[in-house]
Amino acid sequence: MIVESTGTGTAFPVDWSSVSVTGTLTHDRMHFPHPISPLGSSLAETAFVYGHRNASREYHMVMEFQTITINHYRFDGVLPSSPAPDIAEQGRLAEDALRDEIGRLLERWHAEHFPSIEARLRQLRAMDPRDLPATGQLAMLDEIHRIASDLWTIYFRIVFPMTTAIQAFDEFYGEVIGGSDQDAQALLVGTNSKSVIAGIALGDLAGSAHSLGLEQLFATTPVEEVMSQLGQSESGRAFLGQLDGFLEEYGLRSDLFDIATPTWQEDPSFALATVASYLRSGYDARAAQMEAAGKADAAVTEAREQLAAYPEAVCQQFDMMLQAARQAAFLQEEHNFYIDQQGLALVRLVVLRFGNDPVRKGLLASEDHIFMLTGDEVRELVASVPTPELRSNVMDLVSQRQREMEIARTLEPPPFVGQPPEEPAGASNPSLRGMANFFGAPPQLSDDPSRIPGNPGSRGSVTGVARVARTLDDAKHLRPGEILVTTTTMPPWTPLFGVAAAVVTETGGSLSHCAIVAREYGIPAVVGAWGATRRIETGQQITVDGTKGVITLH
Amino acid sequence: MARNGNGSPPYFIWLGEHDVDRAIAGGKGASLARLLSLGVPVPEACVLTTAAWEAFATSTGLQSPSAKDDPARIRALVANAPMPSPLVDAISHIYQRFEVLPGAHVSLAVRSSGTMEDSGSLSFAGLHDTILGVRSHAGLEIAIRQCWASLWSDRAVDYRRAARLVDENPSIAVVIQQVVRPDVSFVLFTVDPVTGNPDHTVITATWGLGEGVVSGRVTPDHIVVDRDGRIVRYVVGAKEFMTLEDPPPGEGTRQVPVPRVMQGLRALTDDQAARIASIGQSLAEKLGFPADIEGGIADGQVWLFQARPITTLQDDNDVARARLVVSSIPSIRHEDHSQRKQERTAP
Repeated sequence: MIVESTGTGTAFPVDWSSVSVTGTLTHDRMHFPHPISPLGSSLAETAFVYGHRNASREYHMVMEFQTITINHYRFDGVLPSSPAPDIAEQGRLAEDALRDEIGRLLERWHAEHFPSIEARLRQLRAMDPRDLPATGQLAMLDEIHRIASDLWTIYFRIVFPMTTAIQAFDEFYGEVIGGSDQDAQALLVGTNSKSVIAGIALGDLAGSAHSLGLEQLFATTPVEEVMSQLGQSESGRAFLGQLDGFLEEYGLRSDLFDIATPTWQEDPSFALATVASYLRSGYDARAAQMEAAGKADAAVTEAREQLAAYPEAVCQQFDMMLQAARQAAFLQEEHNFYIDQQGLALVRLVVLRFGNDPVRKGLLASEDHIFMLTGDEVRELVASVPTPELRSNVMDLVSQRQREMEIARTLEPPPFVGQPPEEPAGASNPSLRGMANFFGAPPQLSDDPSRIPGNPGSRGSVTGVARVARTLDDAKHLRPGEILVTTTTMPPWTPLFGVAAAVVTETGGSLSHCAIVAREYGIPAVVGAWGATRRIETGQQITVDGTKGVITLH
Repeated sequence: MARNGNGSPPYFIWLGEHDVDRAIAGGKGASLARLLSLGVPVPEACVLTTAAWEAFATSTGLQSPSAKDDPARIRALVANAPMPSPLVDAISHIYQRFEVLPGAHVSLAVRSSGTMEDSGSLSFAGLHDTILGVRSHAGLEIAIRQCWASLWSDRAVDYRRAARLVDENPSIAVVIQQVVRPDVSFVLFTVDPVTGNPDHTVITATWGLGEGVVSGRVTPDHIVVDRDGRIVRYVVGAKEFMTLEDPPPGEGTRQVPVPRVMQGLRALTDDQAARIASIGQSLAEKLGFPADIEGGIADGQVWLFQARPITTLQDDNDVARARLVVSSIPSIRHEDHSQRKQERTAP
């Protein structure tokens, strides 16, 4: 309780094993590589868990999602529900439910999911707590919570069958045609998803900069000063007009799954840095998309030829599963754009407005300090009468949390807490196998100091100069032709794939977002390469073999 | 019908509306002709008659009694001796006619059709050869020679010796038939072979060529259809493997696993099962006995490959009915393979 807070807080950091945990909870480095803000944690602990529970029940999936935050790092896992139901029977029900669903992924997206997502995003856009009394603000917080919970329910309603569809197609392809997951994945690119379209829009923006004669300005101005430089000339202002249009459409995204991170609308420097990269490299996003789609079509034709001797039923099954998997590959980016990115960004923007009142009352020094409070603390703040004592307690708490976050950034969280993870057994259904390929095989270690093993993400091999970037902010410095080495990539990173020669991540498997987008952009990728950001240095020559899933250091 | 001059039997006969004598078409050729004359949907077929074999044998001097003593030498002769030119012309003519049939490519099943096989008391089952997936003119000639040579396989010679048929002059015809590549293969019993219930047609079905369903090595779907075409029971089998034609230029078949996700799916729709049952019932009526029928569905069309009396229902009197066995192609029998394997490994 803030009011009773002494301001000194408990010791930080706590021992990782001091928190009691049932089963195994793993640190999800792919989504949360960095410390997450207290309010971001609260949202995850409520809305995300609620959505997972709702959707998994709908699909008869017997599991309970658990999440905790230790030292501002998120750990989560799924446990079998208790009391233990008849697992085999539930498994059959789940497979049936998911199989029904993968046949109508896109249909349901258009008829049901997309309209409900849009309605909720519209509600969030319209919310403004600034002139409401405390009771109205509390009701609005409840409403935000409900909307977020709905959005995450829809999220899992999409994600479970989506992952199943891609995994089931990979397995079917492997059984009838042979080859690797990546051979199967080659048929799934060119889906024209929102991630790709956002990349194309950014490419168009670079095209505008070119035709407005702004190449010189972009080439010589540090990214922090580009905005003010652009404001100085007529052509620069014309460009800024177009940038506003782009940000209106695609700017509701930020680096990470933490509502404390500013969106591109608030800080367009990454978009501007990408425009500068595109100008330097001459990358043509439209041509690249056409080429990717053409390659996928050729791969589909070849697969159909290989199936010529098969019974009609097998060919039909193949076509059906290919269609489902292509829809799933499309939805993977699409749902992410609207829920993970726009949904979180809009929640962030409303929550920032909740910071307005406390700032006016002198309770917070800055609106974004509200992210340093938990959900309950925000409610308490809204409901309280401002007193000098409250003011000092809130200020102390915020600065304590800020200090903790600083310390947390220097910590190396353990891969898991609780019981050691069991050996990964062959998961019993395509949905679970798909999840395994999403998060990737467990980290591998190599005795050879010049080799870093990972998971194959996207085919091809490239040797070049590494650019190690732990955050999107670091990644702004990526130069065309360099190899991007990072912990994880979120969808907002993907425009960089247009100028990177290859990409290396420390997290994820062949169905991870990074691997899928790298295939879409046709660049080699090794994902889940444990320790890559520590062992590789910016400027170092490395070879990325995305077919084998290995990085060689030179 | 291609006449061979002088009123002697023709070298080849396209099978159609009429029955053809076993003496010139062999057992399989004759039964296939019978199937066609009953209006059964059977793929296009031609018989290279015993007259063709005899012309070849005469031209290579195989009729001398001493030659019969060394089957290996005869087989070598059959494989390598020059083909008399009227036979070369006949084979060309046959191949060209298959070539102009509608369909993506020629794929033929070439089968020996002995004059003494399926003759009631003697089965000769699996003694002679079947070559599937013949796709060229040259391949057809080789396959014909292989069928002829099968008359002189060690097993066939032993069989004739054991059956005291050594003095008879064995002859052989060759059945050449368009291969239909079934999407689904089935075996159908026009009465329930276990309960004897005459109101139940029992179908087993699986994907791909027929070997899977006749060999007993996969668990096919099991369907029971009543007289009114209603599905009484449909039990989905795992259908672990399916037999496929090798892609060109391969000329054989291969077994591949059925994708896991399809093992739980039905090979036949209810409509297809009802249609097959009705075709089977009408054939059994024409034959006059409850039949065990092999067939397949290709591009939505039902084809029948073989029909014979249901053996489990046979009493002594029924043995004679075996004469009525009608057969077509392709029905790759499991025993064909195992016996040929034994033949190869025999000392």
